[in-house]
This record gives sequence, structure tokens and C-alpha cells, in this order.
Amino acid sequence: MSREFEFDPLSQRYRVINGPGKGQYISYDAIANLTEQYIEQSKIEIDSLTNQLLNRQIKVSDWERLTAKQLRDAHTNAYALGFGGIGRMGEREKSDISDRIRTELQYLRGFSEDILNGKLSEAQILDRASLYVDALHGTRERGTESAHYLSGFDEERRLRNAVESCQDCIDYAAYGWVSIGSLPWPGSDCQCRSRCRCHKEFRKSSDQQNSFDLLTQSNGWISNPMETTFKMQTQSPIVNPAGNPTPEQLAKINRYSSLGDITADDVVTVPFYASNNLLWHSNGAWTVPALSNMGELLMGRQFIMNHDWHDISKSHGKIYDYQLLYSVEAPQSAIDQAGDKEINQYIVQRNGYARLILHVYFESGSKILQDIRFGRIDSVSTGVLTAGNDSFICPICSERFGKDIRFNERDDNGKSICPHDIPTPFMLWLFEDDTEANFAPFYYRTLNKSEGAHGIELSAVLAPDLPLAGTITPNKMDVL
Amino acid sequence: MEQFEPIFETLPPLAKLLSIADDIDLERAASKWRNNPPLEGFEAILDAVEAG
Repeated sequence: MSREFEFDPLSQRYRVINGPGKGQYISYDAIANLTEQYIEQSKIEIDSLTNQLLNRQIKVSDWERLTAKQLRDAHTNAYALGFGGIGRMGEREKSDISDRIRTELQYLRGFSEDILNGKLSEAQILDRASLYVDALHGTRERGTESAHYLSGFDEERRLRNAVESCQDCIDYAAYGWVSIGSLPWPGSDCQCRSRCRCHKEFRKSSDQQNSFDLLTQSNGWISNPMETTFKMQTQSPIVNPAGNPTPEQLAKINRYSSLGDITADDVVTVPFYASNNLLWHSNGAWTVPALSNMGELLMGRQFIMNHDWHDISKSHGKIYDYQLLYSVEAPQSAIDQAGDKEINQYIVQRNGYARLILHVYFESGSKILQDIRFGRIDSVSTGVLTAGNDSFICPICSERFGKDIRFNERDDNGKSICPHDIPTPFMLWLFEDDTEANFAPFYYRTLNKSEGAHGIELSAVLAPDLPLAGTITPNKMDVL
Repeated sequence: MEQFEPIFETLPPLAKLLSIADDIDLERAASKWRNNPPLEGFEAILDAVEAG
């Protein structure tokens, strides 16, 4: 049975109204992934035209005209995807699309002239043609912004999604919330240009003034991964396997070498599934932004044994890179591990599934590589310093208030906001028989550098608090 | 791949190329996906109706 959708201007999201998943909202990531697929399809069509040109089957003028028409229809669809469907669009939106395409066609003319003048190789022609398709990201963003503006949203901010953003995009994200239309569209006025993967987020300023009073409204709290900026991979995860480093990896490794002369034969790099946002044995779960911050904080830190922070001889390797993988759903095998299945399902439904991969290099021929190879070492645990009690977030009160609420949070009058107790194993043991205890079902932990958090190490351990944390072996590929 | 040799060909006026941008037809663009949808869900998303 095929699905039918409606677009809700209030939430600016699509919702299934018929077919599988009826009633569910479609996530931002799902629409972003659909756009990616559409762009790949469009690239195939443009590549086909360009190959006809390279094979002298069509003239440059024909190629230019046919490419322009393909781009026109593709931009129209990309805009519609961002705007909320073609049924909502009218003359205003058509004019907006025309402006966008006109700019692209002016670039296309410059491209055609470069081809005619023999300035480009065949490879350069193919590569440059694909850039025009990448620009569809920006057109969808433009449609999204337009739809928000018409629905009364008046503030925006730029968020980064690419693993490596250019300095312009980093600067735009740093502005935070500004009036809608103040920031460039992703893909314009930045060094990434059409390959920019940033997006904008929107809100109504009036909602911000009242949000804390909406005691009965569930807004989703700040642990939402889209509420922060970090390097995040939402596409199919590609994790480089263990082995001698690639040239790119070697360059990163040498950033942490005092002599800077490490060669690919000197070291072996090993990826570790270091953490995720699901439940630990001790009833806690990292927020998604905490995992991102953890990756940043652990760059350049050591791989040691048994969290022994007092013995430098326990250091065996160094963390030199990280990846934060993210998807809206988690494999059942991941949900089934780490304690309470129902809580894990709730976390994934609310915040998605994020996992932190840490890349560590070890000296070639070292004993620890044999330990890892033969499985004598396979589990790991991250070592960090958090902001203490301020880093414990109550899931119940956060849900209730629509923002992160600490267990020790107080209002302006100094009155405690959260009535719940933190369910750490020690607290549960201590107050097991206390009839006045009011434990939350679990707790979130944050990790903010601005609050004094530090990254210390990644340890090899026998029994990790997070069951999945360890080496990435074939039997664990499904949880990546 | 090799260098693409210069070509002696005259392009149509820029205005003619840009006129393609003015020929926006929402139905035509979307119909490509309705008639032969290569992406599951894409054409249905484009056809979304407004809530309420």
C-alpha cells in the first residue's frame, strides 16, 4: 500500500496520513536522505547528457539547453520538497525558483564557453557538471526557509552537517539565532559552495518567551541532535578498518607527533566503537551533543589500560580522529543490549541513534596489537571528567518543560524544579527502602567544555559500562 | 581522460537560455516522478496535501 502525506505548516513537517506508519511525522533526516537520493538520480541524468557531449553525440548548445531543462525541473522538485509539496506552491514560489535557476543558468553559460574554448579536460567537465546538481541542496533549503517565513517563523540559525565545514560555514553557525533571512542560504557565500551540507533551523521568537511556561506541552528537549552543531555523519557509515593508515589518516596522526615524521609503516590505526546514546549498565545515557563533545575532547588523548590515570606506562596508543554516526533508527541488536529495552526504544524514538567512533593509532609490532588481534582486548570505556552534579539531566522534567532540566535545577526564586532523584546504582542501593525516594527511570549526562568537562582517555577494560563499546568486529557491524 | 578540444560553435543568446528559467511548470516537474517514480516516497511527498 503506497503512503500518502500531508504537510503540517505549524510544525513544518510531513506526516503520513495513509499507508504504513500512518500518523507518524517524517524526520528532517528522512527528507534530507530523500534529497540526497534525488540528487544522485539527477546526477545520473546530467552525467548521461554530459557523456553524450564528450562522445560528440550532441553539440554544446544542445547539451546546454537539455541540461538547463533538467536542472529547471530538478530545482523545482527540490524546492517543492523543502516547501511542503507542489500543492502548496503558487506564483510567488515559481518566481522564487525562477530567480534561483536563472543564477544557475548564468553559471552554466560560463561553463559552456569554457568547454567551447577548450579550457577543460573531460574529467573537469564531468566534475563541474555534477556541481550544478549539488546546488539542489541549496534550493531545498530555500524552499524550507520560504515555507517557514510564510508560517510566521521569524528567527533562523545555521547548523553544520558536513564532516569538514569551511571557515565561512563555521562563522555562520557561530552567529546563533538571528532574524530570518539574515544568513546566506547553504551553498551560497561560502567556500563549500554547492557542496555545502549545512542547513537552517527556524523558530518563532514569541515561542521562546513563553516556552518555559508551557508546563503541559511536550516540545522535545535540547538533547535533540539537531539543536546543536557538530561533525555528524547521517549517511551510510564508512569507517576505515584497522590497518596501516591512509595518507589522509597519516596526516592527522602526524598532527599529534612531536617530530611529525611517523610513516604509514610505523603505525597501525584501529577504529573503536567508543560510545553511543543508549543506556549504560549504570542507568545513564549520553545526550547526542555530549557524544560530539566527547569526540572533540578526546582528540590527542591516550589509549590506556583499566582507566589507570596514575600510571603513564599504561599508555599504548593515541586517539587521533573521531566520527559521530547518526541515524533516526537503531538496529534491534543495539536496543536489546545495555539494560532496559523499553528505555532504549524511547531514547531512539526521541533522539535517534548516535555512536561515537574513535580512531586510535598504535606502534606497529607492539604487543597490544596482538592482544587486539586475538581478542584478549576487545572492550573499551571512555574516561572523561564531567561537570559533576550539573551534568545530570532528568528525562521526565526535560520532557515536561521542553528543554534540558538538571536534577538540581532551581527556578528564579531558588526553588527546586525537579522532584526526582538520580538513579545511579549507588543512590538506588542507598535509598532502596526509602519510601519517599522518587527515582527517575534513567538519567542523561551532558559533557560541556564550557562547564569544565575534560577528555582524559580511552581504556581497554574487561567489563565496559556500555556493552557495545569495543573493537569493531564482523559480528558487530550491524550496530554501526 | 584527455583535454576536450576547442569547438567552433555559436551558442544561442543568453536571454534564450535564461528564458528556460521562466518556464516553471510544477505539474511537469512532478509528473516525471509520478509516471516513473525511481524513488519510493518522493512523488508522494511532492503530492502532500496541507494539513487542516
